[in-house]
Amino acid sequence: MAALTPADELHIQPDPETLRTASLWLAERCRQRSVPQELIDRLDLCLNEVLANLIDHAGPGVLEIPVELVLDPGDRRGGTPLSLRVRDGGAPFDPTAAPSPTAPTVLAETGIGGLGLVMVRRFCDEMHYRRVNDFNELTLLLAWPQETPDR
Amino acid sequence: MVDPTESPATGSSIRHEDHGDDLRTVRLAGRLDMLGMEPIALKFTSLTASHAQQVLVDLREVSFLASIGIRSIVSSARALESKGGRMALLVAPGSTVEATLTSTGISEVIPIHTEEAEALAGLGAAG
Repeated sequence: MAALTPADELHIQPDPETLRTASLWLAERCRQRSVPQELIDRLDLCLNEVLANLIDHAGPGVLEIPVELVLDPGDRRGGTPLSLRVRDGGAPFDPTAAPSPTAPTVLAETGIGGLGLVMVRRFCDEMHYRRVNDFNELTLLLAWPQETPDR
Repeated sequence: MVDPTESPATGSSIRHEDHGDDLRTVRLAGRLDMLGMEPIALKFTSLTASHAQQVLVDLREVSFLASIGIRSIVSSARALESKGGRMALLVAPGSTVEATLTSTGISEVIPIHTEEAEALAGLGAAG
């Protein structure tokens, strides 16, 4: 289903400061579309972790390739979810296929790797990946909350 | 004792209060992402994991907790435990920070409280 309003795009070269830029852009665009704060918070966490993972693990030169962010509000009444597509020029990485770390049970054995991926899986409703023309394309989907019927 | 470190540029801050020799509260505030953790990470480790003590980490004024912040908390909690101390976390009930700690399973290995007096009493009793 086509979006009722055009998608927004942002191109950034990921570093700790542009993560903030991306977060502010996301929040502003979402508020313009009356996205509930709870969804903004969840999407903000997901975006931060995806970009932080890229900063931490991208190879030499990769961060010079701008990352494209596309926010599509979907269709609140039609049931099309809010989506955020992240397109980067890094080495192939499919986060949907990456194994989840074992859930911690003892502090001394609690690992600190893979937490970001756990958070993304927890806070978005769906995650889709594809490799397109040497780019990773990750789409995060969050369902709009059901509206209370008008009386 | 209060010893604040604030970073207006990143919007994060850290301060602490000691309650006797073995019980300390460390209060974090702001957005704890890559930029926010950078100026406070070393101080957080120093304040929480330098010797055997009971430490309450107050996250009620944290607006955003990224995995880099969680990693810092877990690393310090592990170091503290290895020295015979213990850490607990204080969160605002129903907050995204609380949901983040629950979703990552951290709440299973570091106790989380929503009431400060209860948290301090629990740590004090353990000390």
